[in-house]
Amino acid sequence: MSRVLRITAIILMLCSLLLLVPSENATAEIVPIPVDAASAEPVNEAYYLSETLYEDPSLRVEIESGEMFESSYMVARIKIADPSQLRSCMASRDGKATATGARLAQRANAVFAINGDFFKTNQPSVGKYIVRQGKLLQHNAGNRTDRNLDILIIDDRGDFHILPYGTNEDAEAFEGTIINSYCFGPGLIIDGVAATEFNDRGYGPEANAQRIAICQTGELEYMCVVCSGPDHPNSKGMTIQEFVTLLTTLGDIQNAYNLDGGTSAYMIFKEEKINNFGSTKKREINDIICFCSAWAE
Amino acid sequence: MGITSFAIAVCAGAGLALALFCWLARRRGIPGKTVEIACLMMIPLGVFCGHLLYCAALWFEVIPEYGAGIFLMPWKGGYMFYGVFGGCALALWLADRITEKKRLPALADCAAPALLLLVIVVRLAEPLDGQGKGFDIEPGSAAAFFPIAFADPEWPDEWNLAVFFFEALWAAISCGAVLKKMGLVKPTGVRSGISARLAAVMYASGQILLESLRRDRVVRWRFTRVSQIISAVVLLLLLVEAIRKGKLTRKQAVWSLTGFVLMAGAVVALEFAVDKPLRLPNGELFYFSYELTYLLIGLCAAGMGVLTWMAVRRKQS
Repeated sequence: MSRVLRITAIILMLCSLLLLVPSENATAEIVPIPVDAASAEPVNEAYYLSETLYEDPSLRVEIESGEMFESSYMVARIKIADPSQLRSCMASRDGKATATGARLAQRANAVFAINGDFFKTNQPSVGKYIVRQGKLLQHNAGNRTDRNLDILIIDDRGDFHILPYGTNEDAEAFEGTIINSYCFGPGLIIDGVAATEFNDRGYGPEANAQRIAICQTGELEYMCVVCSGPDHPNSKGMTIQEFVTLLTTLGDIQNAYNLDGGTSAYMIFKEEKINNFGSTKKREINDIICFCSAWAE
Repeated sequence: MGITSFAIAVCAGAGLALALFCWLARRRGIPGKTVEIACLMMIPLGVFCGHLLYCAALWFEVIPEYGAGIFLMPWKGGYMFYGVFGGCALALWLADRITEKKRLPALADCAAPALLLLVIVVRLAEPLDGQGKGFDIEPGSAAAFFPIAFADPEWPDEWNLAVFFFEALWAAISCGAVLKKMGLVKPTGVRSGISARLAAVMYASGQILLESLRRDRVVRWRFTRVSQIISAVVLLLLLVEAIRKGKLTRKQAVWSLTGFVLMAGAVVALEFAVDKPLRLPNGELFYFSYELTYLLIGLCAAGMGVLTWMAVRRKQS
């Protein structure tokens, strides 16, 4: 065999090593979830590292617990790699049916989820602007602007924008792409400033109750906080002001938004409700806000 | 606007109901002209009033979504059975007035089992429209089999209580009871109007429980289910009518009304107990199980129905 042929054969065999050497992550990557997808890809159970920790290259969820104001609380700290991993899932396409939060989390293949704003039970006189996964479901002006709810907008970059006493016009004037919007509130922390005054727009600010909030703490970083309520053994529940105080102790929060509390409050991890605090009750709800994995193996 | 399988089922149910109504009316010697006019009016008035009640109950949702013209757009939004019943009752009254035959109670008796037949068919067809679901049932659990539960056609791993089946079953039992009362083939001679009232009592008392079990597109005001309220009002009106007609002594009337109000209040309290605990005098919390809660609601609904029927069936003194 000539020398040229021998060198060529050696080079070819060296090149073949590129294909033959095994790699654990040869085809794995972060794949954004389409906005109109009914669910994410099924979760790989191997990434649940403990009862309180999930981690894959696209998503990290860690759950902590504590006590304050004679009530228990749970905090979920979440970091995602792509904005499409923060999603909503409704019990029916028109949002008029209900189901348990755990059922909805299973349907969405969510690693972690909380309840939404239960928009179907809001007062008819109040303005509403409801968007779910980019689709405008409901918008009515309401007839008392002093009773308008604060609107939370989650845009296509996963950023939170809270519109105090939001109207249709405010939401329509938003410069960006709305993926999901919620009408409950109030905004507890807006652009880093904690609220101190609360008028009652249906969420009983002075009542001791189970509260739940979703917060943005950084780019693609979030926190969900839920406290126990008077319906739980050995628990007083928190007023809105006490809940805000709790939030401020948990870290640097850019925006925090109060969602429907009481028996509607769901915190779901591994497709199970974890904020039971000793109760067996599960109310059916309209929809959930969920965090899904985008790790495709 | 496409034709759905659910719409076909509703049409079939309406056709069967009208056929039963005509057959029963002919057997009872009601003039053909009256029956024809009633049939001609029942369809448009039933549709219009069923849609009207739905829109009126959910005006704060449907008007922003569709505009005020929704009241005249029966192909959008939805319907409520109580509205359909009201529209059909109006049709019967108009037919009786036009023909001046003064046979309204007999017409109502014939329409009652026919409307229950419509309920049977429409309820059985509800899964075609994604409706008729109750609370979640764990797949693989002891209750995860038809007819107790059924799998959602869109989400085959999700099982729910088959409320549609129980509603159809109760409508069938009610229809059978009414037909036995009035006689399917030959009239039994009971006074006119009593069979229609029996149908109303049975349907309304059943709805108090069955509506509470629903987890689909229920018509509600915040956490109150509209059909439950209407059912209680129907029973109360029948009870008050019986009292006004002197069917009960004063003492009986007081006991009946008191018992009715207490049981209605218990149903309201039990609806809260579905997802809230009861705080005992010592401060501890007692959690009602779902089974206990719905059993008690069922017993109270049955009690309200029995109280009403016992008053209604009495002869006028």
